[in-house]
Amino acid sequence: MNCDVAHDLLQQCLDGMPIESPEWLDHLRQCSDCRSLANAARRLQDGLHRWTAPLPPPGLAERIAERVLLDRRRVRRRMRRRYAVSLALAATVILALTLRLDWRGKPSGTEPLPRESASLTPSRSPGTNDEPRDKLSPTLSESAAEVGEVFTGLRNQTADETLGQTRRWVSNVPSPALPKFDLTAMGSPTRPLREAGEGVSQGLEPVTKSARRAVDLFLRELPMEEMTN
Amino acid sequence: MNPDDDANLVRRCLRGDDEAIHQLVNRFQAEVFGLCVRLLCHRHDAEDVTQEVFLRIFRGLRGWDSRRPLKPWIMSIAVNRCRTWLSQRGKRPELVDYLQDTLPGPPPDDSGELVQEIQMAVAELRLEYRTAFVLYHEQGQPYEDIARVMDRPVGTIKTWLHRARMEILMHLRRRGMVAGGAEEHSAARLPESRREQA
Repeated sequence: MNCDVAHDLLQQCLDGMPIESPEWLDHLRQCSDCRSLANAARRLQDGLHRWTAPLPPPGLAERIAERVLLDRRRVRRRMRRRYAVSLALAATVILALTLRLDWRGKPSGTEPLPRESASLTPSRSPGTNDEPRDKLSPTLSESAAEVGEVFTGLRNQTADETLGQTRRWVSNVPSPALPKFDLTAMGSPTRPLREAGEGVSQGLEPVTKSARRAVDLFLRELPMEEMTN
Repeated sequence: MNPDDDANLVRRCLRGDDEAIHQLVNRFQAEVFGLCVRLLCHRHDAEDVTQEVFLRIFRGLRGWDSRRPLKPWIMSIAVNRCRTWLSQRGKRPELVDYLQDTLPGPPPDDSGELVQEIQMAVAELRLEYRTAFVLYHEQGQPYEDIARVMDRPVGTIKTWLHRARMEILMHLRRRGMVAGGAEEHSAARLPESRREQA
């Protein structure tokens, strides 16, 4: 038996397997290096029997659990904040698009617009030569116009229904205490809303312009292959 | 530990059950802390790292594959965290405060010294060898689990463990913890000219 085989047997011994090999014992008698290693292995086994794992300090588990719970709460709060910001951004974009479309598609009269007139064409400032934008922006504008139309339609319908119900309700109540309303003199319900919308969209005009410019810039930066696809 | 128990516990933790979080921490804190102490050779660092390990465990709990055992997954996070900590610390590991680790009461013979010497030898090992040695001899994990923890084949783990043991045996011999070992060993290691003088 050579020293390598003796070392392998020593490892088996340290793995906890019993070794009954007379050759090994013979080798240990002859080889002082292997004999001293075997003695050291016996000492290592003795030491490992007395070896105790380090005990965690008292209260460590509570501290860990507390920190974990704190971290969970923080993560949850952060997620909620992100969600709220995303929602607010989406609402702002939809509102800006709606107001912009409402403002652009309306003449100065008081009657509500027919739906056909609400469709938009892309805005062009006179004297500017921006052909690539003309090619791309109609798609964007058309989509936005559809969204705007839907919102305007819904709003007008709701207001008209409310007014109709009010008229019926007021005429059916025979009470002298109620003030007399000239119901026929009530104008279109959408008028004050439209006026308010006009004011807001004028205020938001710089925002919508910047957004439009940003979108145009982004579309211009796209490679030609992607645009054709 | 029954894998179903682990899966159930993890499910409860994911549902936000505070009691389950306490249970999971209590179940594994001793082993994680023990490994961290052995790998970092510093109790205070080990406490900090243990806390970080559990934070990472709970953040990544959804990523645990419930078909696999939980313990090797947790220990692998601990090993990785210790490795990162050591690389950031960038200095030689300090020796543990042995007084806190040895058995209570005065030992009747040199067993206390022997344990200290073994701990010292373990602290001098390469991180991979040390991890394999501690997981096998202190925590009693089988080769397969150690391979999972360290993300290496079983053969590599066996080789590392054998080398770790050999280095520890050499250390014990060098330090005179083996009867006749120091003299024999020093004679064996001396150059020819000096061996003749000796």
